Amino acid sequence: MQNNSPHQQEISDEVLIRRYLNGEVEVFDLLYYRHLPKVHKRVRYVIPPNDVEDVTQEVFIAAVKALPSFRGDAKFSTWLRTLTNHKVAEYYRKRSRKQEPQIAALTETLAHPDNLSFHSVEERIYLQRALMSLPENYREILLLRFAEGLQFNEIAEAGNRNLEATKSLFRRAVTALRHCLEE
Amino acid sequence: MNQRNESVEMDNQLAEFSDRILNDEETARAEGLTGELADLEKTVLRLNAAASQEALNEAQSKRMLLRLKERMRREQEEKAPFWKRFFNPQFGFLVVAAALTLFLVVNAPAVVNPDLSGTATSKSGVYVAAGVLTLFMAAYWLMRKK
Repeated sequence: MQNNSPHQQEISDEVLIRRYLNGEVEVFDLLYYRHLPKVHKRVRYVIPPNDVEDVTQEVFIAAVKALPSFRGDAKFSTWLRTLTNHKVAEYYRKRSRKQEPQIAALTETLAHPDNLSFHSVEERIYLQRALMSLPENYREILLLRFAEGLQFNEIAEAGNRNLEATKSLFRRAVTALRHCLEE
Repeated sequence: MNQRNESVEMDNQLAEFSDRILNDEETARAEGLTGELADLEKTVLRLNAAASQEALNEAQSKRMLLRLKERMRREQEEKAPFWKRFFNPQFGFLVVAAALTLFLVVNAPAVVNPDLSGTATSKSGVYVAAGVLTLFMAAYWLMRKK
């Protein structure tokens, strides 16, 4: 995404965070460009189109504020994923007080129809609604595979499961999603 | 045992199908497939298609980073103590300029009608103040935020 030198790309997140906390604020750009695509894609899967950018920004704002408390017990990407999930939950909490988010998204998209077709927005909204209604472990495995592009063995490692159990969970998650979409 | 094997087999097939879809090795399942696996594969295709549009491009990423930095800067400023927000060089120039303007206004009658004050010293003081004021205003203009 960004033209970083191979040397910069080799530097681990943890080293970059330490440098950032020691005052090298410019290294934040590296962290940002490195993690933005995955955060943005994860958000895109569960947040209506018009709010994707704002929620993504909220995630990074929260990350910057919380970085001094990042101790490195977990990987930065895992920490950022948790933060993203918090921000998504916060978004739905806030929006449910005003108007159902999906309905709001449709209304907003119809008001600005330049980006996406009504049909694609409608499809996205059905999927988002179905994904958000899934149990957390089902939603998470689908997002890890589709939004973050993790391989099944990586998902297994991240969830402390074996590969067979991970694939089984994946199938149950897809089955649950199918049922939700049919409702 | 047989049922378990079938279940594991289906888990593997669906996982492999998802891998192929995500690696762009397959865009759709062959026509005519029926059954549970086919339905699940259709769901996988829908899920993959949903967010594959509007992927981030470089310009968008840059714009988002700029927006983020701007917001961080604003939040930092809002967090700064009241006096710190105002006591920057620009504000200093404004205060000095205001003081000099006040000085000029108070002494203006001396310039318009020298008989009122009478001394040449006060008259030259006003000219010096006017000159300094001009310099400060010029400096302020050059330092203004663009």
